Amino acid sequence: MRGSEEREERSNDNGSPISLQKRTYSSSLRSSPSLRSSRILQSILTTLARRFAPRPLLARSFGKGWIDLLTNLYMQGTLFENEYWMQQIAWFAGGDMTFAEAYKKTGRILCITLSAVTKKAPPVLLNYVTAPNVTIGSAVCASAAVPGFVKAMRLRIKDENGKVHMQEENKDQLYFDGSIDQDIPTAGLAEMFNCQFFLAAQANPHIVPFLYNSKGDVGRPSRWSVGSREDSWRGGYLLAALELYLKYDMKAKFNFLGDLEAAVGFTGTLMTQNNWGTTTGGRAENQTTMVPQVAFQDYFKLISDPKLNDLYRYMRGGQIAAYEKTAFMKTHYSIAHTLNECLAKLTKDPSNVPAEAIHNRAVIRRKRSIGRPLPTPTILGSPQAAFTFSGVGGYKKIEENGEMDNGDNEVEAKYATPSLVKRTPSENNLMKGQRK
Amino acid sequence: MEQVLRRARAAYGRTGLCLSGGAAMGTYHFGIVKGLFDQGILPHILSGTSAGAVVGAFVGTRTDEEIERDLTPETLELRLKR
Repeated sequence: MRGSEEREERSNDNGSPISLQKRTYSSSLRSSPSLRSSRILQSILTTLARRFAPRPLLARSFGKGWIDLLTNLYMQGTLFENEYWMQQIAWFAGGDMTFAEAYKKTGRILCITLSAVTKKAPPVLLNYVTAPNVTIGSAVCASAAVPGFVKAMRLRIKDENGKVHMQEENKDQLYFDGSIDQDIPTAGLAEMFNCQFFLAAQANPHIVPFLYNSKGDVGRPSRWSVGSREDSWRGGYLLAALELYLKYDMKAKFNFLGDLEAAVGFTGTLMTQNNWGTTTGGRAENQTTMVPQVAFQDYFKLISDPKLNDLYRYMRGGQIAAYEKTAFMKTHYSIAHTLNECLAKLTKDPSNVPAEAIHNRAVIRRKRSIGRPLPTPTILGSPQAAFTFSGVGGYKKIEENGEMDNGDNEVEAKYATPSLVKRTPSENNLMKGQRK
Repeated sequence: MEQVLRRARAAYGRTGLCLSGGAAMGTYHFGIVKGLFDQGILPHILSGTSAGAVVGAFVGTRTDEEIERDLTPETLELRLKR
């Protein structure tokens, strides 16, 4: 009996290949078979992981076990879930604070870059002007949504009553990782906030190794073989030439692949957008790049939670990278602050005084009371000018109603003749002195 | 004179801090921000991408006092792990 049943089943199976095909093409493919196979996959993975995986692989990554991650990857096409990230990010982004609230609270202008999912759409720059009621947490999550890791996501909006809800359904309003299209949004910042100088911090694992600066950089002079000069070729002329040749060659090929759209997935723009392949190592005229000295082990910890000793290393590395630029930035700020101070003295209307001049004093007073040593004011002579040193970037002249610079400043920036920007002889000397 | 100074100030422009992406390597940004903050040269205009956006949001939603309080490896470790 049994034998005949089996035979019958077999004949049925053999006899209906068409119906089977139909089933596979139908929508039912997604529901039950994948669930079953995922369960099987999970059990196989668990056993495999138990038996063969070395210890570090079993370590939890961003709070989740590898098995969970792989199952998630199979079921949803991504390693992590959006909701989970939103909870994780909440502390960093101040709960469900919006851009406007953050600006009102701290006076800092926060911008977050996103890429739109639709093709040809330009990258987006979110800040308190363009997206005042978007919650920062959702923007951060969307900005961190690397394809394959987290799904592209919708932004969340806080309405007047303080309720947070999703942006309306519209395919164009899905956003994902900003670093794919535009890592350092110089153009957007220049346009919106009149930023003329950029202090960039580069920690992209695929770019950091190439920011080599074969002729030295700000705060990292190159005294290779020639003791007196500061811009000799690092590693000697020939090796530097070889390094540059290989770098330019690689960059050219990436550009070629990117323009042909032959690169895999989103990788096309990854290597071409920054000017890392130049002699100055990503330092355009109006930009200086802070690059932490990364350790080799960092590359193995890219998607894992940092341990405490790692964090100490990260903090130290970052601080050193920042200190390298300190003198340079202070000189840069000193000019801005001197201009502010002069303006504040000349202006009769007290409401017209640049806010940052007042703010600076407050910062300094606070820091004094804490007892942190102040940077020694050696560059400008008068003690009053020394006050302007500690600093807050940019010209912050913002009224309570949330307007940025009043329009005439922007216009003036446009029409200002170049001669106006020229430094006075004393300032020139000052800059030279700093370089030495 | 005031006009001239105003124009010069506008032409000189402002300074922006741009934090790049970089998965767990973005943790270096915390150190960078701490270095800048301690020296008192943390720009008022911040932009962040991906991992840099997390750090940017951290700084952008906190007052100076709160940054001083929260920007320590111990606090961050508690919040970064799960």
